[in-house]
Amino acid sequence: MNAAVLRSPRVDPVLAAVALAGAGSAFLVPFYQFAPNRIVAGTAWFLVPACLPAALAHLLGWVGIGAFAALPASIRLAPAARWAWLLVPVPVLAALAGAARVSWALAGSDPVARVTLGPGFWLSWFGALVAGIAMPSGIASRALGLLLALGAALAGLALGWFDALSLVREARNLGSAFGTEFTRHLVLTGGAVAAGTVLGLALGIAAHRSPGWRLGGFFTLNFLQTVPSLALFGLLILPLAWLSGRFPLLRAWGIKGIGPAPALIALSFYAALPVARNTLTALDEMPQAVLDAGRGMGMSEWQLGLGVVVPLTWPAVLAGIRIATVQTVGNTVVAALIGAGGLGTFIFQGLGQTAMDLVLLGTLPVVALALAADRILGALSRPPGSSGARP
Amino acid sequence: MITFEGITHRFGGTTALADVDLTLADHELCILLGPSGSGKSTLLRLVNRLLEPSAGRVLVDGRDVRTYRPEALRRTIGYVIQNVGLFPHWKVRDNVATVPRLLGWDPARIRARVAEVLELVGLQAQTYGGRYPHELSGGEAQRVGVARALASDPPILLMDEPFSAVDPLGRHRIQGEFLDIQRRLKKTVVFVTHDVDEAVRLGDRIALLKEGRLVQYDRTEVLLEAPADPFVGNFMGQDRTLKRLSRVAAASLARSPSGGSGDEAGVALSEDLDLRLVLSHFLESGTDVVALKNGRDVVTGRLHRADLEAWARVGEPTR
Repeated sequence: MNAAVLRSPRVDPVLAAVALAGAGSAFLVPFYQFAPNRIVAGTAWFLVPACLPAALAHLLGWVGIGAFAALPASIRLAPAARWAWLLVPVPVLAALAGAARVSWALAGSDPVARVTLGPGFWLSWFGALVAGIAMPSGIASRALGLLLALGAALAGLALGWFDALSLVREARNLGSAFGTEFTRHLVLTGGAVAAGTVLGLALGIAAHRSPGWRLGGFFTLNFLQTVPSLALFGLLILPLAWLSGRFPLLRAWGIKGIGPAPALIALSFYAALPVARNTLTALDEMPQAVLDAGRGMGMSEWQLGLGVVVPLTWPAVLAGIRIATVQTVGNTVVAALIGAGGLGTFIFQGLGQTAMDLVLLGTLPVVALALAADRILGALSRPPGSSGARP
Repeated sequence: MITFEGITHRFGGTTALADVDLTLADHELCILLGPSGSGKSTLLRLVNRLLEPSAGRVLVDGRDVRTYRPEALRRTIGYVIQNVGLFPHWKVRDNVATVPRLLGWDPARIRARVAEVLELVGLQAQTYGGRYPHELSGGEAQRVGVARALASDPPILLMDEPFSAVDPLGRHRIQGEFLDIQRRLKKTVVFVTHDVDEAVRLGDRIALLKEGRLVQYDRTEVLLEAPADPFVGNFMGQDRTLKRLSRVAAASLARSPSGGSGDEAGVALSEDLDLRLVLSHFLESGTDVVALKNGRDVVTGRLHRADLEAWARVGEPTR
């Protein structure tokens, strides 16, 4: 019996709590809402009367997770117990099946009627997320579980199981606008991160070399960071409108007081700060002896830069780019308010029309983009084969 | 041969070196000794042009170093520093290969040379070649630093307090190993230290600096026997006589082993011990004569306390 087993409490408290809350949610929290049209307030539907087979599956999933939590630690930590992780997607799949079933039953024949997803539905996803982190898992069991949950959601979308849900109906209404704004969001974010990275690297290097830049440059960026993004967009409208009026060439390039130009400029400033700060820290922390030895052995400044400084500072710089990217994905939402487009368009439209499904259509891809960017850049910042090559 | 001619060096307002003239002979280990701020490191860094003098010039084998491209000059001079400065993202074998690669050697030759030079500093190339610097102890890292400096077999070695960051026991060992290497390779070594014991142990010659001026430059024995002024005397220490004894092997004062097999107690000391340790033995045992033996436990001579005392009083004439 190993030390981890001895230290484990008899019942896993996190899993037990999540399982209890999850099981209760079927009775206590509305999973779906039904409204005869977009204007009137909807009525709440709990999972238990709404769709009994789904409720049963949902309950079984949580009871299974709860039972697992109550098993002796020696069994819970055994290698084979990792396959219990496959219980995690069960409540999610049940909630999805219920959504398909309920929406077709209530709104299948009526294109104006709306079935929206309620808090219970999202809580089952959140609960599964917590349970998924708390339960022991192997690579295979986790991959299979995720494939089941996400695969069912995507396959259902493709096969039209969810076509009666108002979320899907809103998406259908948007048509090609969704693709356009999604692409726009990507372009704005990518452009701002690229420009911010160049700016941040330049400022980080300048600040490393001169105390003046260190003080002035970082004061400016820190100050800009405290200005709310919407205010910064607004502040840029005047000078850009004036420039656009003065120089027809700029106007021809599409640079105006509103639209993508001020958004891109402001977003780049925000993106520059984390890159600049990490670049400066990495350069400041370069061991002086390494540079001295490199120079003393006859490396040219170029050889020293490319062979030593870049590889040693790259992980920190990449971490800065990662922070900047995740942050910019979110910041770009606000850019919709000055006509720059992006997924924020749907969010603000939805807020204006109190159409929460439209808000979700903007929000969910933003969350997915931020998570994806974080994961991808995180994987890049771990150099292959090096077991902590930092001093 | 390294020659400093009228070297003055100023950092901003302060003068680090003032009109230093110094010539270092080939195949000798010359110590640049002095308290901190005496300018010894500055002087060393002028040789490979990491610093440029404000006035005067530095000649290597008669040629002004300013006529070389700095990178080309540095690749012909080994360089070892206190904090080693191994590249943390490179394995030991890549670190050692730095200069040969800069010089464009072919890979097979580099591989052979890296193994050879790692063995030279007492590290198994098989075991250590694939390690990263953070997997080495302080002493091992500094051995790799020395191996890296020797990799291209440069005639000159610049060493800036190379062993001062190693713990005392390890330092004593690595000094001894370095002395053995130096006896074999006969490099021209410029060695900066503030540690008098290290200077006395390693130096063929010592250049003692104080506040940017050269106070005395001579053979190590001379600095111990005849310090030029009270500063030198104080800096070298009140135990100068003991330090002199520590530089001489017992065998050099031995008489032939006629009769007897040692002192009354039958003790025989190794002939490789230095005179300081032999004196310690006399003081401890109260005897006046001791037998000396070689590595195979054969008595090779006898050392008389009177001979040792006479040598300490008069001093051997400087060679």
